[in-house]
Amino acid sequence: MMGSKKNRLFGLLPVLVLALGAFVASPAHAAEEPSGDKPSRNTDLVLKGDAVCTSCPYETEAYPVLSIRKTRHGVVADARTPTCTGCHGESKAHLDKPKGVRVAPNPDIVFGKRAATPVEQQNETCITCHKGGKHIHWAGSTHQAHDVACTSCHQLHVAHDPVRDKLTQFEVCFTCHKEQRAEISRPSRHPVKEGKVACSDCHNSHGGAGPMLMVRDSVNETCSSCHMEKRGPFIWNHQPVTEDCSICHNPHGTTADNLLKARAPFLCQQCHEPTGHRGGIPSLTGLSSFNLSGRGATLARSCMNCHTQIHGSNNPADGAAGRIFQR
Amino acid sequence: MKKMLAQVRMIRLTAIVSALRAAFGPVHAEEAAQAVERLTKPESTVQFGAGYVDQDNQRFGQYTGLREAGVYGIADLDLVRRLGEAGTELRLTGRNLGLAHGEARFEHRRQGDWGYFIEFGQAPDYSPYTVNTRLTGIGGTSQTVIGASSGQDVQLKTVRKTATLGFDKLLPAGFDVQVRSATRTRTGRGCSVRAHWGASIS
Repeated sequence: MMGSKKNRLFGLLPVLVLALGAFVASPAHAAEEPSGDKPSRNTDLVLKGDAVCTSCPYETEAYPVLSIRKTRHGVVADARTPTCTGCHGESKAHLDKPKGVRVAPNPDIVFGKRAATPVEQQNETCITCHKGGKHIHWAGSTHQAHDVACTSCHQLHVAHDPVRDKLTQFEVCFTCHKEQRAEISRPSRHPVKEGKVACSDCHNSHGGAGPMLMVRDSVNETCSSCHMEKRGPFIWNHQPVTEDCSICHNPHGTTADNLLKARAPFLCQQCHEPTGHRGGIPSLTGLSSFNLSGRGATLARSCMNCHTQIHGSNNPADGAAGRIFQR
Repeated sequence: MKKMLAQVRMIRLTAIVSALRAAFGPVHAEEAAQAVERLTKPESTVQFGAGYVDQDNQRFGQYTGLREAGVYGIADLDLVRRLGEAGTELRLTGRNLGLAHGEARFEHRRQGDWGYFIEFGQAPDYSPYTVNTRLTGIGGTSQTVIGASSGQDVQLKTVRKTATLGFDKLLPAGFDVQVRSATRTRTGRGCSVRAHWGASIS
């Protein structure tokens, strides 16, 4: 009896030694699991005063903590940089976890999709610093009115915030804006998927004075920031161009060329009076009332085969042709 | 006897553990420090690659230039360096270098104080159609219609090149100055050259 117990104990010994050695020597030990030793609360790791937080080294891929140092929120030389408790609250209950309690209560302010903290309270934390300038129209804006949290779009504790990168921004926006996700896959579109145009080039998601969260005060001003040759004013102006580019164009994507909502002549016939050749039934051949020199009026660029300067003409000499945007 | 045996084994175990800690303890602390540095220090990346397009496709390469079958080289880089404790950062980024829609940006800023950047980019726009026309002189100031029975194939495209210079300065009481100067040039079949600059104080 005594001998078998001795053998069992000796048998367990190497297993115990190996287990202890692996635990001590594990390189991931400090990064992934709380230390069994009493935490040191004296050394800041990332932000000022974060010693009390980072003394409990709990970092996972799903909940990154220390990598905020890689971001602009981690530049301690900037006096505006917040602290952990500045955003997450003093969180006494989280810090002073009672003995015997396995999971610490959440901090006072928690961000994220499933956070118990109300969206308004989450956003107030960010607005403490991020107010004015590009964010001056946040209050009452569309996203604010729909209870969109800052962290619905932004990620702070990671080096790469997808919404602040042109190449990945649209994926964040299209999480909600499904219609636009479909539209940018249409044949005629802006180069959004190539990373040349981002949603934020036209829209200020934090609010704006113009319609549809435009970055500028009107659709036309926004479009002409890149398409300045269409801005005008021209000697001969085309009224829908002057009024609103989106009367004819859908900037997210269309099946008709040049981001037009409908192809010519059907687009033009939505406005233009049914007199002369304008109101004829267009066809691909010359066998209809709407043909131009015997050719069907839907061929090639249709109305724009002749009316090439459709956005406006500066022709100073030929008034007859300039007025109808033919040159 | 049983108690003595248990005590002897406990001493041996403790000795073994102590020996292990002495041997691996400093290594463990060093690795922990390296892990923290890896998590907190901004990382620079350089990526090289090659892609192969197996067929000509007008739509596929409409905005990237990858219209013809062949091998294409591509590089991305993101070099970042924080200088000292002053919060000064240098960053050089390049995207799609080697392709027709490449772009590059250099930025130097002291967060909370000032910053400047210079940025270059180009964006092609190839028409997905191949136009057959008897018109010659497209893109120029003088066009003629040739008398041949059939026209010639013309590839229409425009290339938009942008160069932007920007400067930011944070002022007291929450104000800041942002100055931007951008030159956008669009060339192609029917070229136009435009430049605009802007400044804002907010």
